[in-house]
Amino acid sequence: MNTTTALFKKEFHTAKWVLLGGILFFWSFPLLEGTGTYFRSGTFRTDIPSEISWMFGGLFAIITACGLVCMDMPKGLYEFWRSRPVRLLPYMTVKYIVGLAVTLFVITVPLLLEIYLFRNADHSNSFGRSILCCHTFVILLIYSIAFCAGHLFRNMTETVIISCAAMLLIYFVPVLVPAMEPLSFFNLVTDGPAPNMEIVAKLGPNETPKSSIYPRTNWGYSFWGNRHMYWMSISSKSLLIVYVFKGFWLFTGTLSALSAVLIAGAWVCLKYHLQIRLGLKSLCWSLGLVGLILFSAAAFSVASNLTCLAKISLPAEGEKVSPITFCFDDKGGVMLGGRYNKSESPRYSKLQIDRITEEPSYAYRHESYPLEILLPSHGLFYGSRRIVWSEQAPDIVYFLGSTGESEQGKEVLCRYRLYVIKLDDGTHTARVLGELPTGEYDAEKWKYYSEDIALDYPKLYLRLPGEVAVVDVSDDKQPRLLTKFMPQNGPRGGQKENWKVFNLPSDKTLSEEQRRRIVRYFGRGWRIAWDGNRCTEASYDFVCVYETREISPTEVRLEKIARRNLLPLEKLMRYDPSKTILRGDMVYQLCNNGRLTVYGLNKSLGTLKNIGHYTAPEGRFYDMLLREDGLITLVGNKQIHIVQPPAIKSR
Amino acid sequence: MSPTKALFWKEWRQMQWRWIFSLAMCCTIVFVGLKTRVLPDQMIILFSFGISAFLIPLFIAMGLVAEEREQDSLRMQLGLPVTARQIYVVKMAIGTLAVAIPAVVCSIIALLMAGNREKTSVDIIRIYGFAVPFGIVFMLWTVVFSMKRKTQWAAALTGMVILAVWVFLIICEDVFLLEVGEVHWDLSLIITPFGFLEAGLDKGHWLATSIVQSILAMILFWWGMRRFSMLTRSGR
Repeated sequence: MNTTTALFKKEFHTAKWVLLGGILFFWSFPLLEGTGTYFRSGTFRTDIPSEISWMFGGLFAIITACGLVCMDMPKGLYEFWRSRPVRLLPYMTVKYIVGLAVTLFVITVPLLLEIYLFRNADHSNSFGRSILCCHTFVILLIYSIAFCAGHLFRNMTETVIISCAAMLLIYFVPVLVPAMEPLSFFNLVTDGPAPNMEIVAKLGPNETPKSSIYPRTNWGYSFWGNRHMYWMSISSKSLLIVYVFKGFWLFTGTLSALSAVLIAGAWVCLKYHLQIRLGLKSLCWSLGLVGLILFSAAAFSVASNLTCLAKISLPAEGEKVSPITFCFDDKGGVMLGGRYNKSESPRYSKLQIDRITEEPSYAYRHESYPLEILLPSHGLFYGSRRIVWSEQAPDIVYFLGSTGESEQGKEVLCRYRLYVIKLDDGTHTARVLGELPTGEYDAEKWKYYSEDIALDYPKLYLRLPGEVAVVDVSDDKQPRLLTKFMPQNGPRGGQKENWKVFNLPSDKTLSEEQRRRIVRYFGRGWRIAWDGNRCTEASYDFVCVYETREISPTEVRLEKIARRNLLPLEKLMRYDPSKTILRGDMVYQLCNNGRLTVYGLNKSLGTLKNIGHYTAPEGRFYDMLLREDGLITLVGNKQIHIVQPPAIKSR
Repeated sequence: MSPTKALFWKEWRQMQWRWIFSLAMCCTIVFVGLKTRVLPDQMIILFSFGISAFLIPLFIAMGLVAEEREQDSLRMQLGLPVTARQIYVVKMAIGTLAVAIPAVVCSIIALLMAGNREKTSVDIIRIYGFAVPFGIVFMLWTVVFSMKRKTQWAAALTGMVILAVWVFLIICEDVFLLEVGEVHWDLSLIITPFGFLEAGLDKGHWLATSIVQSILAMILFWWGMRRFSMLTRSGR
């Protein structure tokens, strides 16, 4: 056995437990998930490897490097190895190669399996590919840092702590420092450069609406949404990288160069016997500074930076109960609906319409329209649901009332009733003009239902448990039920229904049905907003802007001009978008946790930058209005805020 | 330079980095948090309060005696023309300052940036006002009970055990409820420094806590002095 082989054998024996531990951790979860999927649906699939490898891959690399380097470093043992007839370079090289091979073997094998299993599933395995291509180089850098740190500190604890601090910096500092953006792994998989995707919405009467995102080229397709990263594809089975975008080379090249420098550093430490003894002081400062940098990064990335110009606290003076439902009128005023406390009124819910209108210089006038609506049931949950208003019937408010859930034998029933309410500005009173019972539902059957109301005058759309009701309200006194239909994505599809109509493209050459079909092609119509020929689509993990390219009687072509995949931190802070507005180059997005985020469009780069945030400590916001003067009105049940939008920078 | 001044200088040099570290961490968190408003003001203030009332005292206590024992430098004290009591008093004085100053600076930053914004200035003062006496008492307990620990980590563990016992007493507050006439006294609040939190809310509890904790602190201080003298004499 020659020296190198002996060294390999020795290093392998040192690394075998790490290897076994890594296999157990990184391989068992995907296998478990795949087996479970196989028994449930007959196909063996897993997407855990991509998630688990970017979350824990760096840590595993550190453990491997520290294990290999620091195990040989205790006094006596190190002198023993140095006394062997082995040159330094092969000794270190073999150690480095074995450690790196163990790390990559453990991490990449499940990833390759994931990509292979998803080979026929359109672009759904793109994240796995991005992890394989980009994160491998991050792992290489982290491993090299730990390797170098091991030789420098020669102590397991200190090496692990310093390497972990460095790992956090590698992941998160480039997100914070704009100059380092090209080196950010997260930015690489979030911001997209030039567009290359388009949506073709078929408008023919026999077309089945479905997601139809096609690449412009048919010989390959981009990864992670819209990156210029093409894969050799044969019958849509694509595994090989043919061409990757420019930023990829910058990213991988820089990380590889840094790794090479670190390996050289490790060699210098070994050769010249350099050693730093870290004490508690150094460790505290290292960890403390990393913690502060990351806290500041997080704070400046997601915290409020928009100015609040005016605040109105709710409930208004003289009112006891906060409003639970809102809508905006044509003058930028806010209409609020309130209800009694449960303790006050166990047999009926009360609606009181309030209107808050703006006077000059951010003064506000509060008008109250008292009204009592009795709902004929003993509900377990008393709900007034939603109010809605249209400028085409300015003195009318539509209110979807509910009896709440009431137990009747084994069933838990809830009933809904639509009220047409007339507001009299002269006497400040409200009265019910017409009513329409809209159905009775078994609340046990529809566990995840939520009610909503949308007005496209004179049609009113009511989202009820499991179905959508369309009501004609042209006659105020006799609202008429036109039809009921099941939402497109199934009876329960609470999140995926796309029945709202006010977010349709404004192009009048298309019929309403055709416009609705365009929206349906996005899958989640209610998160779409149009502005002229542009539209924005938002979901939990991305924001996109499209431009209409071509409209014909049979199809509409939309080109994606910018996309942003959200960072994990943003997802953590935002939740799902609840309302999206597109105005010029700005996308305003209100999320379910009540935070407002403003994105700026950079069409030339094909990116959407996060340019403004707003959140209120008093509570969450439920709705927003972009006013004609450019200001944003945010409404919650504890406050109304008028917020200044971010300044538009020339792009 | 007089021996006492020299002692102060030595202790200051020894504790300098801990003090600056604590100050930097606490103040940066308050400044960045309140400036960006990443969380409600109350959360940021409570976060920094947690650091200044629990972590900084522990961190400072680790360095007062345990660090000297770890470095085996206590025997060097015998060569100085000062008594062990003087060394102990100086150590505790520097420790007290190191615990109190970050909380005071944080309170000033919080008042300047967020006074009467979401929380009233009085509330902010009350919260940090609790952090100072609590931190000092916690540091004293940790130093005295970890006097014989030979490493800083062991001293830190002792401090954590003390804190855990206090929290346990607070959790079991029902056991310590005492009814005197029409007044209900929560003894768990009085025998632990958590009673300082009642400042401005319940005058009786706060006063009783102050008295009981002051007496306890004096006893602990005296006992700690004895233990320290013995340690120094033995030179271990």
